[in-house]
Amino acid sequence: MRSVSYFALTAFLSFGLLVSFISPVKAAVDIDPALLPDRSQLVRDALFLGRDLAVLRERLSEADSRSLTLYLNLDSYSVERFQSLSVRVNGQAIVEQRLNPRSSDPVGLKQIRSVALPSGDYKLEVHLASADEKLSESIKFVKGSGRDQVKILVSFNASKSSTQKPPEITLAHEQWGELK
Amino acid sequence: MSWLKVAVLFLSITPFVVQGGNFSEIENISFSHAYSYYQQGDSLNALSLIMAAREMKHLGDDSVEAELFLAENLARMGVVDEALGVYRKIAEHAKSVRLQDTAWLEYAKLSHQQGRYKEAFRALAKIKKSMSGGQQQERQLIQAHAYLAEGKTKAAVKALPKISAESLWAMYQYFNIGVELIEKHRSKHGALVLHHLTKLDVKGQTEREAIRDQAALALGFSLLKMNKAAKARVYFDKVRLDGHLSGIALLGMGWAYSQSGDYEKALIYWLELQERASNSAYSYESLLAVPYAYSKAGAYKQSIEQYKISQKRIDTEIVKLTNAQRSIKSGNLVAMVSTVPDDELAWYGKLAYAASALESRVMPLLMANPGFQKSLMEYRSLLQLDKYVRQMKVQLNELQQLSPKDRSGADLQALNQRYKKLTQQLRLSLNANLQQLEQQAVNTLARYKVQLETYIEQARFGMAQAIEGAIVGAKGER
Repeated sequence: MRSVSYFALTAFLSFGLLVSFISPVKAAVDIDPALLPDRSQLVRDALFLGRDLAVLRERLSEADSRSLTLYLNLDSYSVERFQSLSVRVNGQAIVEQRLNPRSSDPVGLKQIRSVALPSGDYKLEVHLASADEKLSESIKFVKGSGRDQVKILVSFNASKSSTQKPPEITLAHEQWGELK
Repeated sequence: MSWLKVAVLFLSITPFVVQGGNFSEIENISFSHAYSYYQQGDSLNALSLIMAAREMKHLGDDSVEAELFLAENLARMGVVDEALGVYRKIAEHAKSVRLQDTAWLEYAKLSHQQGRYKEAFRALAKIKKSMSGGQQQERQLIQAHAYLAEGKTKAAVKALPKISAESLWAMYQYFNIGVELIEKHRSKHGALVLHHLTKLDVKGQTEREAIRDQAALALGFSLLKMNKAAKARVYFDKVRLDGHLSGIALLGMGWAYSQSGDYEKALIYWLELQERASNSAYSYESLLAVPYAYSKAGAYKQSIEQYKISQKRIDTEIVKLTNAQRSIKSGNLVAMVSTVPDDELAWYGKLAYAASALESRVMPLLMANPGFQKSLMEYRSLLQLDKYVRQMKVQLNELQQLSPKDRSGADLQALNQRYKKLTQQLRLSLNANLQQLEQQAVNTLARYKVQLETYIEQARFGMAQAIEGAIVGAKGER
């Protein structure tokens, strides 16, 4: 007598379904090797085009003028806590921004402003404000170079001893290019 | 270049990207800017920014870490030769021995994945001794796999380490070696390798748990084929019931009890499989398995009823598959695949709830085909690439406004031409890929239809057996 179990199991095995369990897709090669050359070439071309665009943009802004580029990184806690951000250079406001915790901005490091670099020494101030508190940090930079970049990082620090420290602003400064 | 040394701590960055690399502290602005794109899932922008910063020598003291990050992600995207070039450069120029070793190890892993075993061996030979436990295991696994590729099974088995769950890469390789030892080399060591994987403590680590489930399944079915049903059950039992592989484990468990002649226990697992809401190749199996087990257990009446239910369901499923094929041919596949989450380990559970449209209900069947999964992944990668390239048009237009009519104007024109060529090629590639995906979907559904059509005959035959059994049983009682 023919056995149903035999046929069912045979159909199952011959259908090749087991293959999906004994070859993890991510194991050795992520993509179908037959398709790899085409796509990898496209990815390569796109990345190099993106790189060259970024380099040209940088070169144009270098040639254009001495500049100060500001990057901002707020953690999600600080976005919730503060409603506004302002940045001043030598007392002049260059950024006045409302923070909106419901929007996707500005958690994560983002370029927020690029302005002409003041000549000589300059003072940079960052102010964050909520309804009942203000947080400020300022720093003086000795001479702007050709290209100054400042990263403003606002983070809330919770210590291991469960004593919560208030948010802190830290400023990181880099200069590229020749002094003019 | 002057540096204002401040402690910049990126709390959300987890050091998983490059083993041996430490991304918990990134001071360099260019790198951290690029890395924030990566964190938001935009790897292409992240890489092009790092490549630009590298070109302009803006990576400062973080350049080695940035390049390790770059190489790993280039490799992930299939830009292999560039990735190998970056690893080699780091290995030859990094000041720290730890970073040199990490770069040589990554170089060896990538060469190994490309099947360039000699190159991998040469890179391994340059590694000194500053590696972590996980890295040591990776090194031994590359050696073992290379021996296996040369047919040196004994040497491969000797080189195999007993791995921990520290390196995910090592777990995948270990699994592959285990399966290869069983399938190609008929070596009992393969079973030991898989057994070891099933014993690793990986609770709560989704991807590792999935590998462990796969190892248990592969071992369970291997034992079942060798008629060792009791041992097979031990491994089917290890597969998580809430994981995406639980359907096939239920099926296997049923077969294991059926092989031992315990049809009532087999029914418990097959009925559970049958009751699951979503369609899958395994629930199709239960259409025959359940009435078969009833019949074998002497419950002929239930068996006949179940065969009738199955026959109706088979007819309905065939109509559904035909409609889905028609829908795909009318260009609806793009909408259908949009229900599949990006995370391949999450697709099963989410689809079971999300699939309300008739067409989407066939997605679990398509996703059970590894060829379709791969093509879908390829298609989605191309879509991401397309999105990235579209953004470039905006940047090109912005630069057009800024650019004076001098040398940079000529550069911009050249970039524009490259952009046009790239978009044309990308369009062709996307169209070809979608066509291939559609063809694959239609063919996969056709195979399911053939499978179900053979079930019609088997169900008829099974029902005749059950009726015969019922008549013989009734005569015996008289």
